Amino acid sequence: MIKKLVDDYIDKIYKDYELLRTHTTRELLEIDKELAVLKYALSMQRLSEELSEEEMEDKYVIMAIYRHYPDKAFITKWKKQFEEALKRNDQLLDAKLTKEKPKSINKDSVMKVGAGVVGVGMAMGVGALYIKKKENTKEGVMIMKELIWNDLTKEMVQKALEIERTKTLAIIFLLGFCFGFVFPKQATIFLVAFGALIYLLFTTYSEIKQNLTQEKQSST
Amino acid sequence: MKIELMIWLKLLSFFQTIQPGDIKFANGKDVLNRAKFLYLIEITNKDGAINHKKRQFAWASALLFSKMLEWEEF
Repeated sequence: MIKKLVDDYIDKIYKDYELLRTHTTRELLEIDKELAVLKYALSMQRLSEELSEEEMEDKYVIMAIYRHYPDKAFITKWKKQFEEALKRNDQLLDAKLTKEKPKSINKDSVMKVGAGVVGVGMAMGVGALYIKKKENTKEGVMIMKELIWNDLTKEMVQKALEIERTKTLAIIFLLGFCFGFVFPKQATIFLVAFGALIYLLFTTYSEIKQNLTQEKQSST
Repeated sequence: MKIELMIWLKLLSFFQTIQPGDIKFANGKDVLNRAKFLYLIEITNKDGAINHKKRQFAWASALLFSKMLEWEEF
């Protein structure tokens, strides 16, 4: 199973990632030489480029991925420099690259996830409202069918359905406008939901229309 | 059709609202952690500089593949 393969790799890489994060190069040398080489490579990279904490975390994972690569070219490339650093007792061998800080939730992420949840929630809410409305419309159609028997013309029934459709579309459009205004980033989600609702709406009305036609044909 | 739509909506909302940098790699087996892992593999494979567009593409495909892993077939 591919899922199991991926999950097994996650476990393997997470183990090495934790070792890389929490140990210095010299400490890693006692555990695994390849990991020590990778940690040294990362220390050198950090000297040459400015990396944020998040980027550093990603780099640790990338280094752990290199550890399990079948192609060891990256490790071989850094091995020579590592040996030289060992000989001259480089201070980078004892460098701890991660600053341990108290765990806190990233406010931006919470805002983004919150906005996403609200977006999906709104789309689902509109969907639920629509389905409820669809049920009501079905009941309405039943009543209208009875009204047809009371000499109400087909044109009048269709006019009533047109008004219902316009009202529903207006509500969805208004919600979409408010949503796009408040959450511009999530407007795409709404557009998809909106498209889906329009599709459902038209298919339902075509069904109703078909039903009415069939009803009329059977009554005549 | 409605179920498929919900899956797409969920993935789209993830893609629009969460960036790989927002997720800390862990040994969890959820969609986002798997996606982060697959994303990192994808960008590790690339040679040379990776621009924003390539990163976005890698993130989108990682999310999609991560969701697909939840299917019975995988």
